[in-house]
Amino acid sequence: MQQFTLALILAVAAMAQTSTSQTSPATASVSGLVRDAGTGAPMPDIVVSYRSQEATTDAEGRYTLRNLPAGPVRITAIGPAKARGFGPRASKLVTVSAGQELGGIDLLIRGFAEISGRIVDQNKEPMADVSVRLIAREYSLGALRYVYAGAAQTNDQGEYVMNNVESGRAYLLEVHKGYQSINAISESPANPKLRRPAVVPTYYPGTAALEGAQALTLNPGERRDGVDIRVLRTQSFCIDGVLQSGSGLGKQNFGIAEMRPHSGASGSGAMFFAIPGGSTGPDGKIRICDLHPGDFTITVTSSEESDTPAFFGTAAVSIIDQDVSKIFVNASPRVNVPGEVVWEGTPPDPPLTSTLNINPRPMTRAPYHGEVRLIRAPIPGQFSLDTLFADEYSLQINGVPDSAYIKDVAYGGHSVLREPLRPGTAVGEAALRITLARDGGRINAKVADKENKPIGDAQVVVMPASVASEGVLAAALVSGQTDQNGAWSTALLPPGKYYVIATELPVDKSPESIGKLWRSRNKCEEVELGPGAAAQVTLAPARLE
Amino acid sequence: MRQPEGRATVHGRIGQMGILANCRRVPVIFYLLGQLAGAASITGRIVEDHSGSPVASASVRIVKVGVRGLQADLETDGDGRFDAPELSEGEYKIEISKPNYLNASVRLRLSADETSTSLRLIRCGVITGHVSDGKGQPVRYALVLAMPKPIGGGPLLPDFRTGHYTTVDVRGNYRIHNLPPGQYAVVVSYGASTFAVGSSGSAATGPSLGSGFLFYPDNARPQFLGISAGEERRNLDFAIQASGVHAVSGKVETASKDKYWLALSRVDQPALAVAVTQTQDDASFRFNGVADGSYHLFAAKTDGSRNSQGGYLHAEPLFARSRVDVLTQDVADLNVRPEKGHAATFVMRLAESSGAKGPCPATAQVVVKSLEDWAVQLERRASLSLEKAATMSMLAPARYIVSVTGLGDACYAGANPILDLSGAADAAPIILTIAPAGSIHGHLDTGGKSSSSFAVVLVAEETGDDAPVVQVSIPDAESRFTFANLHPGRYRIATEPMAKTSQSHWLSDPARTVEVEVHAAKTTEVNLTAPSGPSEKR
Repeated sequence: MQQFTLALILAVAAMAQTSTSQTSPATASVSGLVRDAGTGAPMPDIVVSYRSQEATTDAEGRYTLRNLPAGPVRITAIGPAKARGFGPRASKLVTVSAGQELGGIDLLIRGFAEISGRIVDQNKEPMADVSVRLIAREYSLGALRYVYAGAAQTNDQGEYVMNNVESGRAYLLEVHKGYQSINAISESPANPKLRRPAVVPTYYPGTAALEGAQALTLNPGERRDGVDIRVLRTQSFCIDGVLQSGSGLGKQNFGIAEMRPHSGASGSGAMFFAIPGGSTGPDGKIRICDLHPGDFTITVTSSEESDTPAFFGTAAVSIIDQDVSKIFVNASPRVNVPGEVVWEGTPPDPPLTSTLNINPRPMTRAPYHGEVRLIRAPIPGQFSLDTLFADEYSLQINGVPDSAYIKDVAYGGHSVLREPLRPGTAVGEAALRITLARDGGRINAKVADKENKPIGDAQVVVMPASVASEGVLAAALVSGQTDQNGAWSTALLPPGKYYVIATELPVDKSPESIGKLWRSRNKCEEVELGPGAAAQVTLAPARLE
Repeated sequence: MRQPEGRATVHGRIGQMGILANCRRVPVIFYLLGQLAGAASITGRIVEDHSGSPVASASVRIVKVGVRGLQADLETDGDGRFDAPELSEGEYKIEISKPNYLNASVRLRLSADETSTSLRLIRCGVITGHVSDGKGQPVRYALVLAMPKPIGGGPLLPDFRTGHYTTVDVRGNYRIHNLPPGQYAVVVSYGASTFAVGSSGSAATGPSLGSGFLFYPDNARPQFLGISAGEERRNLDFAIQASGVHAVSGKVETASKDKYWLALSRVDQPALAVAVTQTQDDASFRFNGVADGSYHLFAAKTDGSRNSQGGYLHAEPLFARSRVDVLTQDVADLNVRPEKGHAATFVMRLAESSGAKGPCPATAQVVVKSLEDWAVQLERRASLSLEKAATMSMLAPARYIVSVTGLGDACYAGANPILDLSGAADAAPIILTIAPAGSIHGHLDTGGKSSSSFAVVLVAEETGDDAPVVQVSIPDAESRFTFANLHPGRYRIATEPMAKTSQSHWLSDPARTVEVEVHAAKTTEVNLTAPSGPSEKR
């Protein structure tokens, strides 16, 4: 199975799209202005929405959103280019009461930025038809990942324009050869000296090392030109070996790509590139050349008529300074992961009728047809994940009832609460156990300035006190945005000690943000949360550095 | 000027006036049968055909004929030069490529000395311009395509190869590259073409602009622009006028929650959809922004997924087609009744005149491509064996063009037939004839001069003013030359002094050509006389 689609951008914004069926007689309304964050100018023709309720700003940028239920309401405005589905957005939490007409709720849209430049080779020749890619650095499930987040293609002059770059986020820029179909047996000469130098994925401003890449952060609406890169070349190497599925020989499909960066989800979206690859002959042999020194992942799937492989396997290959021989990859069949949802302590009576929604997604690639489906697990109850391969998955678990929290997720007795799930790696009992508990507490935060004026749109971050590293901190923290009264409440949290801090700047999972939070722990309010408690915290916004 | 022996001289024009032009992805093949004083080494210089500038960073792959693998895998330096030392004697093939250039291929025989060669790469052309609406605003996200002129007066088909299409940027500019020299129609598709992901009938461009396409310079008479090697054609601008736009809506008769993709394609230009949409959960559909006109309404059942070329058909697809005329008002309550697809049968045969099978393979592949834009992927392939009928079933009731692939270099298929399944019934079996290639052997009377100082140039003339395919051969020590693996048909042949050809163009005087007919599986003998006297003016 070979995928020829180049890139697929999915919006993974966690916006519930079910329509509301509130029938309270006196509904609330919210009104205000939508303005451009860069220029301050009001923006007409912008759609402001809450679930299925929509309003469009008029020529002066004013909107009025009606028919809103009482309680916390998150309204979102999506900027121009909405027609493509992925415009820049602004979002605000407001708390309204029945019949209230709340005014002065303004939304600032940080417009997308643009990066452009020219890509040349070592002869200063423009490189046509190569891929220029944005890379987001993010902590995800305990590890720092480099994930693709955007792409543009160079034209015949080597020029590229990268649109739709989110402002305020740090990105790296990479030049990559892009997708190609590879013959299983390369014709490259056996003598490395007779081979053309290989193209190295090169990072702005011109390094082959990810760690040495310079991050770019753009302002809303900014157009940064002259972001040029001269692509590096190195000695080219080959790898050879045999690929199999289920211990049997036969034609296999393979792909080879650098281990980092990789496709996947980051921020509020996801990006997937087709990986260079091809198909072997019936003997499963490969000889892949034109490779630069570095760490690669080879993916092997059995070759079938349908889009859904029966076997899947990956192997890591490191090329240092010579060809690598006798690689062997054996793709394995799907791994059955039985699971159960259990209560710790006394379960609720009467039992809950809702289900936990479990959505496993591969972390570094697009799922195969039929590989992922939403599993609804009764609480408590049994479920089964039977479509997964021996790969890394993130388990997105939704539908946790308000009165409970996830105490742990364990696979084969080992906690995977803050790690990817790796089916097939469990020792002993290979079941997935999700443990819910009811003995949690809540933190109600209020953010106000020195004159006690409430601050809306502040970001409140709640961090467990006992985290060992920045990676675990990124996976364990919870955060949210205060409403117009400066208030925000967490969901139910495990009892324990927490650090709480508020900041007016956005917080994300980038190393910069997490690093600042890590270093600011001594500036935080400490909260000891007992079982069943509701702790109140009042904070002034802190400066993070 | 002496008349060459053999056939009568035909005076006439050749396509692009002597520029080495190649509108197909067939590499230009050079036959150097000379005894070059060559070593077991070869050095070379690659220059651009139209300008003579050196081509740096071109990929040079050297293969020894009959030996697997590459003898050398090189790149030209900043001055276009490459150097492959330490090769053994024998016959070699050198393949040169670079993005935005046509691939070139040279065959030569190396004997014990250093061989030096100079080769010309044809650079592709570029088309660039601006797309705006009636108010001068850029029409972002519109798609501009360069559609090659079809051979033999066939129907226009959109071409989604790399670089041949592009999206208009935020400032309204577009740039198409990678165009082999040839003739192209340029069209901008805005709003809801198949290629625009997420169109769903609601215009990605301004709602007042509607959805449709615009040929350059106008839809009534699309103009074919000649693009020559290395040419940058600028200011091909489009101004899309908002016309009265209407909605077209209705329902597909289906019991379950099936997903259908629907497309509205103009009756006079069905290759490009004007609007594309999907059914909602209740099987209703709606196109917005449709201008007045006569349309085909196509519907096909999909499995819910799609890529940029359109939706993937369901495992058991159903189809519907009907006519919709939009005249100054919305069209509502259309009822679409889907039915099963049709079957088509294909038989591959050897052409009668060709005799034995020869180099033609026993099996090949038939490819069926839709001439109509249904917003779903309708292309199908099947294996073909000589004289054995192959059937494809569940085909959409559309019009298709049928071609044969996998015949190798030495065997060719005749003209591509049209398969019309738009009527109610299955069509009659389609016969696909194949024939072995022909060749030309000849002798050049050089009037005493060295034979390697001349080039013999062969130009294919498949249709009237289509850009020709050019091949060059350099006569050997006995003044003989050969062209092999030729598609049966009409050709023109001429000779040129090599010194002139190395300046810029291969052909300078079309008047001195000889018409030659190539037949399947046969060799045509041609005798030519080299021009004498001072060099002619171009």
